[in-house]
This record gives sequence, structure tokens and C-alpha cells, in this order.
Amino acid sequence: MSGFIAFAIINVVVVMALAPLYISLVKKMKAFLQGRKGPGLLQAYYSLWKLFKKEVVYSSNSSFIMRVAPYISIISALVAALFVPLLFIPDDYSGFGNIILLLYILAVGKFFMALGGLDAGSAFGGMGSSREMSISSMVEPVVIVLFAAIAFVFRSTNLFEILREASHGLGGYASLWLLLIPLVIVLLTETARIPIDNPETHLELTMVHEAMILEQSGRNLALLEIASAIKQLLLMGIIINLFMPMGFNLQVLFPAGILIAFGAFAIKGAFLAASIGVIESSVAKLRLFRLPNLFALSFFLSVVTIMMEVLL
Amino acid sequence: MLIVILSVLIAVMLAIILSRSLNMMNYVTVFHSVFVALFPVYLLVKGVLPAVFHKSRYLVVDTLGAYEILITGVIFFFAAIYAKGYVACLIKEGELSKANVKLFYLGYNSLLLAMVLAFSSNNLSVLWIFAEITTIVSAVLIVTLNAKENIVAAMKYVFITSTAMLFSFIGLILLFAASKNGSGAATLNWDALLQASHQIQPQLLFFSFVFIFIGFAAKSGIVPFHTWLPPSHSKAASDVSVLLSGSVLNIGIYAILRVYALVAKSSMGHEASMMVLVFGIITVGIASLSMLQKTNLKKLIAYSSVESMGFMLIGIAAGNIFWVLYFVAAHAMVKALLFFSAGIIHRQYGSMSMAEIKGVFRLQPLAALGLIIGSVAIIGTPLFPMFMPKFYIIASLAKASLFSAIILLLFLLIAAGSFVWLILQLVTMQGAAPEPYEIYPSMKIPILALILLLLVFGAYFPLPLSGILAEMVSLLGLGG
Amino acid sequence: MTIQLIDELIKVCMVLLVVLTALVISRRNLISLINTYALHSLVLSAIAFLFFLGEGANVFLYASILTIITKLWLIPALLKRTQKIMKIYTDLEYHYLHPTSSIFLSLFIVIIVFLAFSGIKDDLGLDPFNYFGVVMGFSLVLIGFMIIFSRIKIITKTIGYLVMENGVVLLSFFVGEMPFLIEVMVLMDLLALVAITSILGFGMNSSIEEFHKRLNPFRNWFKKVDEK
Repeated sequence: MSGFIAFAIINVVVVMALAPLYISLVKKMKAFLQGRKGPGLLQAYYSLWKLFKKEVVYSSNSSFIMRVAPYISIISALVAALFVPLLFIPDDYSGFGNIILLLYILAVGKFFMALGGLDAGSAFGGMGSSREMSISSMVEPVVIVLFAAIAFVFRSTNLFEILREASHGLGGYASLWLLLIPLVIVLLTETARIPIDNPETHLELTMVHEAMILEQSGRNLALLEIASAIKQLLLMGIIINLFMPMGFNLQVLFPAGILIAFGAFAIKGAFLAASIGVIESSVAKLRLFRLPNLFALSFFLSVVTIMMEVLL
Repeated sequence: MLIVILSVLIAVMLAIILSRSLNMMNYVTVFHSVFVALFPVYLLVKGVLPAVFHKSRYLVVDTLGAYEILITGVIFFFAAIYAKGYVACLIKEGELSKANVKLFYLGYNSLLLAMVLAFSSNNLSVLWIFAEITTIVSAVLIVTLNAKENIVAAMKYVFITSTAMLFSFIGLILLFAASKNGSGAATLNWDALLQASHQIQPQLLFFSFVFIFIGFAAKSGIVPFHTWLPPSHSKAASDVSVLLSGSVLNIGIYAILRVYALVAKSSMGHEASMMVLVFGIITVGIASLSMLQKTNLKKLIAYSSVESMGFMLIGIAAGNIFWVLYFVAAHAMVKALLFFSAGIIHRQYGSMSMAEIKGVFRLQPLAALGLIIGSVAIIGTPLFPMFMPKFYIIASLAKASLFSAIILLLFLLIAAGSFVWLILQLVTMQGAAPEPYEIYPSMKIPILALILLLLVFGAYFPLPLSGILAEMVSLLGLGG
Repeated sequence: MTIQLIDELIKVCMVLLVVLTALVISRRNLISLINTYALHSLVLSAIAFLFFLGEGANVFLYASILTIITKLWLIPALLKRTQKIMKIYTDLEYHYLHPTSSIFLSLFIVIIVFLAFSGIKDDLGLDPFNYFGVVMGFSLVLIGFMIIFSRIKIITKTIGYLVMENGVVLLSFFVGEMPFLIEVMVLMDLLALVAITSILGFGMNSSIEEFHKRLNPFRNWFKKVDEK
């Protein structure tokens, strides 16, 4: 048990520490590609610190939902952080790590975020929530099939076991590479990025995620931002540790092994975040009605993976 | 022998490319088709069949191949003579630009070459390739005219048949694998396959037959793959229509017959014949019902080709190969006659609409005669060569299944109805028409010759032919 | 190289093939569609090369080289030229099926093919590995067929046909090698077919005069003779 507690502490600390960094890294990369200088890498930390100091304002129409939603979001994100090992895998994982459960924990956070958007009674919040939920309803089946495909490939539904297997190298898992594309699509969708959503816009016509949290302010907004950042980092962590397991789960002595793993993860994460920035800069935002096409593509690839696993 | 043939072909192609006058190109083409027509006759008379071209046995002319080459040669010969006058007419009317005539004759001769090679292929995949080439060359022939609709028609033709032919190729791959697993000798040579057919796993054989059938059925315009046929046959120049209808369509039935011979003796033979029968009856049915509502003369004749192809399938399914083979020859002659006459009608009236054909006996008596004799022949009237095959095939179908024979008779009656309507139209429609269009004598010769041939073959069934037909049936192993 | 490694690499190639097929179904930009097809063929030739390494039959090596020459260079160049002349950049017209439903239909196709071929798997003597190849090959054929049916633009239809042909080639790799001569002739036939369809496609969008200029290589030469 103590092994798991150590894992939990290290994992959560790493997540909290790195999550905002990658948000600003993506922004920096986009700015670079647009020929701008862009904000510093620590800008996300400054913004959060500023938000934490600000006063929270509630609409007079809002109920307790508005008040608890940020906390539920951040808690669900932190619990989810226990499900995705980033640096190493503990020997016992005490019932954590079920990949389906992870999905639902993340869904709970999203659900309350959407409720919060509705609660204030403003037109923008409701619109944002409705858009976010309609995208969710399209992407959710894809995510389930995708995770099922991962589970099929490794014959396990536990993320700890899956990643342990993957850390031995992907020699026997040719079909897994099919899942990279759906995973990236899901990552872009869940973190509200182009081509699904645009994190930078505050235009009425185009914003989805931003509209939903438009009514939030101060500390509550900061919590929601952190929750989103954590969600992004966790999905990135799954991709990194599945496809680029170098340096992950080293069997070295305690401090050195962890430090090496941290360094490796930070670099790989930076690489992936930069790639996200490149993807965001090189494609145009899709119309809402073209989104099903993208999700159908992910669905197709996931199902074909399952078929390959059944056949081969 | 291969060298002789190849040198003749190369000489023909070069002559066409280098020749500087229309007549020159036409004479070369006529020579080429005479050569092709005489080649199987020479083989038959000398009795050297099957003639093996190369030790790989990819190209072997057996009796069936020689017979088909003979039909092809004769049809191309008549069409070549007809083309002399017809091309001149087309140029005069501005429907064909002079610059394209060379392309036209090149296509014509390449088509003949591809046809001959297809019918001499013993290897099924070589046959497949040459069948594909005939599609491409025919498409070029269709689009030489100055009309945009022809491009669409050719496109449809190329796409539908090549797509279906890919399925055939899958069938060939499966057949190849089946022959490897069954008899150990991986081959697609038809004669070797026929000998080893009892060793091949029957289910697999049937499976590959189904695939091969799809492609070659499309090549022959069998329903539901027939949609390309009426537009391309009716839009093409009339002598090209003759080639397409009278001879290119035969490749499909020929290939189906070959592969059917492989599967017929296996334990899945019954299923195969049922499938062929169903496709045949549906084809005849759809085609005859479509013929009823056609007001375009060439479209009517094109649909009648679809109907005849379906009828050949029925003949194959009924097991009466002897008369199917005779039917192939008779159909080619009758179709040629009909399209030749239609070509003259087109020149006279500038349109193919039946409502505008008025006073045809006064203006173009020969074309009218050709159309009437052709119509009478194609519906299977006694004393014309289509009668006997139709009679015997329906009789053997009735022996197997009376019900389907009755259905078939009903459809044939409908098809006959549309041709009777055509005859009535020709005979009764009078009106103030323009002056008679001057028709070159070279366009009249083939019509006269074909009418004569039809009358002769209707009245007299030559005995040597009977021997040749019987030999082909035993070659296919489908006798009795 | 060991047989296991080769099999593993072939599997990776199959994975790439699936991804590229999915892209072919959903692409709208014609240039990227043609490029996707070229990549598709590249993967196919890689599979042929791996088969050559694994089984040592020279047919596979020749097939691989020929595939690169024709399908990676000649055919895409031909298609791109046609596309440039026809001035069409995207294909947004569909019959019956939109890309999303096409993708679901192709999923359905894969499953149906899988079930249909399970009946003759043993007769063909296929192990699970080759069986998967056969299923993929035949699914590709049907997916290409679906593209031909559901698209209106001629270039897209041609790509559908080419995808079908790639499927047939894949199928033939896994079932058993065909004689070399036949492979060559099939490729020549394919080339001729693409040439004629691109010329015909050009003809649909232009005047009949320009079309015949393109169709007929002897035209100008003949004219010169005629004028004398």
C-alpha cells in the first residue's frame, strides 16, 4: 500500500507541475508558427496565480451547482491522475487503473462543467454547454470503442498492466499503431482544440468550451482551467507511454530512476505538445456538421484494430 | 506460324499509320479482316487444330477459338467494306473530322487484333487482359465521332465493364489458388484446368466461377450490368455498332462458356447452371420489356443484343451448347444487317427516332428491306437462321423446366412485338420526305451479302458445320 | 531477416494500408487524394518487397519495382495533369453516401467479407495471417467499388477503381503469386485504362475539338500530309 501512496503523491505532483506548462507550450508553438514571439513558458502559471487572487463573482440566478462544479471538476481530474502512471508503475495498484472507470471519471468532471455553464442562466453558457455536449455525444462512442481496442490489443482493461506491457516495447503490437490517429483525434476533441474547437476565440459563433466557462470567475475559473490542463496532460501521458515508452518505468533505484523518468517524460511531453501546436496551426477548424466524419474515421480505425486482433 | 501472323499485323498497323488517303487505309483494313477470316478456315481445312503458338500454351487456337475468330473476321470484313462509304458520309456531314479517320482505322485494326488474340488465348488471365483491351479500344472507337454524348457513353462503358472485370480477376486468382491446392499444378491454362477440374475443390470452383461470371457478364451486357450497352451501341457510328454488337459482345459469352465448362461437371454444376439460367431469364425479361418503350431505332437494336446475350446464357444453362454456338454466328450476322441498315437510315433522316422514318421504301428501299429481313430474322421466324437455335434451346429448357420455358416464351413474344411494331412503322409511315440521300455502293454490298447469307443459312444447314459444332461441344466436355 | 520480423513488418504495412484507405474514403481535396493513392501504392510495393524477402520468389521483387514505377510515378502524374487541366480542386459531390456513412459502410464491408471468406478459408489453405491479407484485399476491392458508386467526379471514380485494383493485387499476394508476365500485362492495362479515362474525363469538360486534339496523336501529322 505504501508503494501506491508514494506513487500517488509523485504522480499528482508531477501532473500539477507539468499540466500548465504544456498549455503554454502549445500556445508558444502556435505563436512561433504564426511568426509571433508569444507568451513566456511560465505565463500559464502567472495567469492561474492571478486568477487565484481574484474575487469570485456569482450571478444572482445561479444555484449551488455553480459553486460546487469547479471543485467537482478538479477533484475528478485529480482522481483521474491516479489512474494514469506517468513516470513509473507501482507494484500494487489497489484497484486503480481501470480504463473504463477513467473514462467515466473524466465524464463526471465534464458533466458538471456543462451544468455550471447552464446554471448561470446566461445565453452564452447554455449555448456552450449544449455545443459541448453534442460534440461529447458524438465522441463518446468513439472513445469507448477506442479504449476497448486498446484493451483488446493488450488483453487487459487495467491501464497499469497495459502500460507495463507497452513499456517492454511494441514489437508484437503492430495493430496498435492504428490507434495513434484516433487517440490524437480524441485528445484534440477532449482538450477543445482545432479542428474541433478553438481555444483562443471568444466569438459567439465559434466558441464551444470557452462559452461554457464564460460565467466563471476568480478562483473557480482557475480550478476549471487546471482541470482542463490536467485532462490534457493525462491523455498526452497515455499516448506518450503507449507509443514512446523510452525512459518510462525504469527499474532503477528510487531517486535517480524517478528523476530520469521525469526528465524523459518532460521532453517527450514537450515534443507532443509542440506537435499539437503544429497540428492546430496546419489545419482549419471544421464545421460542426463535418465533425462526424472525423469521428467516424477514428471509429473505423478502432474497429479495424479489434478485427486485426481477433484475426491475427 | 506466330511469326507469320505477327508480321502481317505489324505490316497492317504500319500501313495504316503511314497511309495518306482514306481509301488506302480502308483497303488495308479490308485486307486485314480477310486475312483474319481466312486464318481459321485454313486451320480448319488443314485440320491442325488445336494450333499451339508457344510452348507456354498461353495462346492456343482450338476449334471453338477458330470458330469465334471466323465469325469475328467475317463481321469485321463486312464492316470494313461498309466503312469505306460510311466514313465518307460521316466526313461529308461533319460528324467525323478528317483528322480522326486515321485514329478510327487504327482503333478498328487494333480491335480486330485484340479480338483475335482474345479468342486464341488458352490462358484465362491472358483472355482477361485481351478482353480489357477490347474495352479500351472500343471506347476510343466510340469517341472518334464529333459528339459529346459519345464521351459520356464511352466513359460509362469503360467504367462499368472494367470495374466488373476486376471481380473477374479475383475469380481468376481464386481459381489459380484452387488449382494449386487441388491438383498441385498451379495454372490458368484452360486445357490443363479442364483436365484437372475433377480434382479441384467444387465449392471453390463455384466461388471463382461466380466472380469470373460477374466480369464477363458485364462485358456481354447481362442484366444488371447492361446499363452501358444501349447508350454506347446506339451512340457509336453504325459500323462500330456492328463490331460491338456482332463480335465484341461475344467475348463475354465465350469466356463464360469456357469457365462454365470447368464447373459444369463438378458437384456444384447444378448450382452454376441455375445461376446462369436465372441471370439469363432476368436479362431476357428486362431487355424485352425495355424494348417495348424504345422509340430510337438503334437503341431498340441494342436492347435486342442484350436480349440475345441473355438467351445465349439460357442456352448454356439448358445444356444445349450445340445450338448456342450456332446462335452466336446467326446473331452476329443478323445484328450486322440491322445496324448496317440503321446506318443508312441515320444518313437519310439525320435522326434515329422511329417517328421520323417516313416513306422509307421510296427513299431507301435497300435499308428498309434490310431492316425488315433483320427484324423478321431476329425474332426467330422459321426459314431464317435464328429459328432453329431458338427452337431447340427452348425445347431443351422445357425438358428441364416447363415453367421457365413458358416465361421465356412470353418474354420472347414481347421482344418480337417491338420488332413487329418497327416493321409496321416502316411499312405504313408515309409522308413528304426530303430527297433520297445518295448512298455509296460500298454500303450496299454488305447489306445485300448479309441478306443473301441469311436466306442461304435459313434454308440450308451445311453438314460440315454440324460436325464442327459437335466437335466444339465435345471439346468443352458438355455433350449430352 | 527472420520470418517473424518480416511478418511483423507486413503487419505494420497492413496497418498503414488501413489508415490510407480510410483517408482515401474521407479526403475531398483531389491533390491530397492522389497523393494518398500514391502512398497507398507505396505501401503495397513495400508489402511485395517483404514477400520477396520472406519467400524469395522473384515475382514479388519485380511486382514491387513495377508498382513503384507505374503507380507511384506514372499514374499519379497522369492524374495530376488531368486535374490541372480540368481545374477541379475538391470533390464535394456524392451519390447516396457521404464520407461519414461511407466509412461506416466500409466497416460493414470488412465484417461481411470476413464472414464470407471464412467458408472457403480452409479450401484455399490459408493460415490466419494470409487470411487477414485476403480479407483486407477483398475489402479494399469493395471499398473501391463503393467509392466509384458514391462519387461523381471522374478523377475520384478513377481513384476508386485504382484502389480496387490495389486490393486485387494485395489479394493475389496472399493467395499465391501469379506468373510475372500476367502481372506486367495487368499493369499495362491499368495504365492504358487510366490514360483513356483521364482523356475522356477531360473531354467531358472541354470542347470536342480540344478533346480530339488530346485523343489523337496522329492528328497534326495527318493534317500536314493533307494540306500538301
